[in-house]
Amino acid sequence: MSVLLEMKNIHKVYPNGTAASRGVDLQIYEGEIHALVGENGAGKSTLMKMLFGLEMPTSGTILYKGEPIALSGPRDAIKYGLGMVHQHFMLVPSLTVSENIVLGEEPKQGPLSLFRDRGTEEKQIAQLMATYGLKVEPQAKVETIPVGQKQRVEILKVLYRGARIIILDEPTAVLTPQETDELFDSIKALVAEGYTIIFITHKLREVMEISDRVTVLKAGKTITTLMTKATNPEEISRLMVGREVLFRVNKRPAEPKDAVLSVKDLQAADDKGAPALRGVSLEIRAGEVLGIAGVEGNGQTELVETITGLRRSTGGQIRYLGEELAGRSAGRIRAMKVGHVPEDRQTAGASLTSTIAENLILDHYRNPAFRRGPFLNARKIKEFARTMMQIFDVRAAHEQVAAGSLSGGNLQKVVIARELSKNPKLLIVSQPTRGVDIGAIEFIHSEIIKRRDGGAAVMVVSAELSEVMALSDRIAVMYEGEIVAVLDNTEALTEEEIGRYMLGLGTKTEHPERKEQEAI
Amino acid sequence: MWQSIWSQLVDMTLVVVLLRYMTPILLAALGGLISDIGGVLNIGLEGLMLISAFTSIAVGSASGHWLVGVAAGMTAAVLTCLGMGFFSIKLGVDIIIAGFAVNIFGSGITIFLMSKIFHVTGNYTPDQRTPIPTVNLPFLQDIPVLGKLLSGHSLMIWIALLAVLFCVALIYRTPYGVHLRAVGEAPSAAKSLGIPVNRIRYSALAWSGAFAGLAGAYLSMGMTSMFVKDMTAGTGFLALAVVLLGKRNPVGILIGSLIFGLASAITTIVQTTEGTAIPSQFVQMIPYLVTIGSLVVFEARKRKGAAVPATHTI
Repeated sequence: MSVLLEMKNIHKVYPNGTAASRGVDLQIYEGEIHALVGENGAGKSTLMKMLFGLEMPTSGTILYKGEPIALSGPRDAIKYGLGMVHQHFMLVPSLTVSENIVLGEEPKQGPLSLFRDRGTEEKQIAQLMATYGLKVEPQAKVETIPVGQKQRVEILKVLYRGARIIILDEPTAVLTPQETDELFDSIKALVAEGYTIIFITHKLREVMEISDRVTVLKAGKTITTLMTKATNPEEISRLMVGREVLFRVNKRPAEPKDAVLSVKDLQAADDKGAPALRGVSLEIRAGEVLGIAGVEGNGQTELVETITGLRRSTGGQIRYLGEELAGRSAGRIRAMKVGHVPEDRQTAGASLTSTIAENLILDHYRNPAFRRGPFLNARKIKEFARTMMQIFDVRAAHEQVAAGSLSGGNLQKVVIARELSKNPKLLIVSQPTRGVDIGAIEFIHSEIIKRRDGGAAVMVVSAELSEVMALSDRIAVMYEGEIVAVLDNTEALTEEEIGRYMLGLGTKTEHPERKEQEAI
Repeated sequence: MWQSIWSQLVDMTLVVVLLRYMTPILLAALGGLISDIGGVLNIGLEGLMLISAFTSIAVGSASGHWLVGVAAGMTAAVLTCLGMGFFSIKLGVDIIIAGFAVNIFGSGITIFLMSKIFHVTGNYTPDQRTPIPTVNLPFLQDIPVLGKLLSGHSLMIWIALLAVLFCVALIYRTPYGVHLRAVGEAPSAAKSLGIPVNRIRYSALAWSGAFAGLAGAYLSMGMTSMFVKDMTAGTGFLALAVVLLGKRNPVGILIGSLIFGLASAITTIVQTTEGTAIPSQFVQMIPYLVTIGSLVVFEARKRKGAAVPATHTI
């Protein structure tokens, strides 16, 4: 195989002095699937931006088929056949699928080529779909299609522009397992057609499954490039993090005590008004972790929002330490020592324009400890923030840095620090490690278990089945707004068994006799 | 009184008056629409109309030809918009603030120039009148009701109606229109595809200036034959309300403009009818009440669309 694209000793220093790349070397062979791994902040995104012409390297050379090239904009990148599928989709929601695919390169017709040629557009897209087996509905508006299809639209967009090298930036972060499988099939089909794929990811399982070679980045430098067949996840993660990483969460068996939260027959509607929770009943005891498994969109989001007061319930009970939570505001529920790590830290978990310190006291600013009369006590807040940053290993220059400038993992640590610092009796954690790197995942998991051992009732909702299985003592599986199974998380429990319930292929509820007792 | 109003309704006077009032609202709203779709909502329509109204009548009477006047008015409005673009796109001023500035500027500069050039303060009526011509349709004008409905309108009324079709074609049938929508909605997506985001935004503002320019020219050379200080009297803001009501769609804009044109027409007819018992101040409130009413209805309908409001956005 010949070298198609090469980056040699690339350095990138941003005007504010941040050195994002400090000597990156990367060789991409024609027709390979090349995985690029590294922790958050290792410089993967910067590297890709440079390949796509969105940023220029400060020094170093990029070679295309042995010739040095300069990429000064997306158009240049497209010229050399480089196409990128961004992690956050670059789609226009109100345009149709086909309008999005041809955007910027529309077939034209009429006088002075003033008008769109929809006939040609349709034909070309149909041909693309047929060639690569990527099925989409060309006339549907992008805002109405599911995530997996949006990604296919992005890939078609890149193919339509004649890209031969396709960069996928964490493509599976938002996909369900089934969608991921479909994506991998498409990727394999593309490689068979002679395309080259650069695959950026956090998930080592995916690296092992699909890549030919893997390049590890750490702190802006290339550590090494390995043949995937000749390595293993442990080696890659050690290279990424610089130390051994535990893949299993170290925990003792739970010692559950009294029920902290008991939800009975809870009902709620989704944003569109359709029923999302159809009578959910569950119980979490002090000192145990209840995991909620399920394909995303089966009511997990609504369940968490309803319990934490962000969404109104339409029926049922939420008893917390003997008090009813339904009907109370989020603020009052929080004041009752309920901690909540929302699934989307960018919009609901943190205020991106506020500083780290401000984010850390978002839930505590009424606390007299941080007040001086009617004013905030800046000194106390600073002390508190510094302590928290130290305990939770938040990597930032100081506590006055805007939260929005933190990497995903660091921001999540800020949110978790805030929620844990109130010593919650009930801790509800959604997607605790989404988009978070391996080192931070290990840390966040161990913090959650520490709270459990300290006597808190913990609910963990995650799209990653492996995460639910690693953390939980019991696992409740949600399907279409109902809990279809509650399983004890023993060694004997397999992903396949949970997967069956996730797809709605069976039900199993725990202790039916207990329900009757309570009814009496 | 009611009989008189009724008779005007039957003999199509209402429709004729409605079309006259609708035209400036419709033109300005189409301009606002294009800027809104491009993500640079131009709230300076009022000021732009004033600038164009003054420029067009001044240049029109000096040159002796209405077309030169209209072209000058449009040019002045477009240049003002490009200035807005310079401040908002290049220098990063909030587009709403830039629009506010244009509204204040438009009112001030026209009064200033009127006093400096023509040495009048309240209004300026040129000696040489150069009105935008009216279109009389032969044969049709002799048919009783239909003639009144279709013939004898200012050319600008027809231009306004054709402008709706023009905008539909521009927004939905051309690549430019798709780029405009992409830039307004997802600028980073547009940029990643090599679409020149800033250039498209400048062009969106220029379009809004061109349409507001036509609207302004009609005020001083079609509806009247003079320039009066602050003669727009809120038309630009009515147009803005229409932009918000029109659901980003030229046909919606047309419907909205018709509603507001109707409200203004009713106001005029009731006011000019002999023996009106209703105090004129109340009658003059009608267009503004319609504005508030329709915005409320619009919002209520939007809420109904999402039965349970998204909690995170609160």
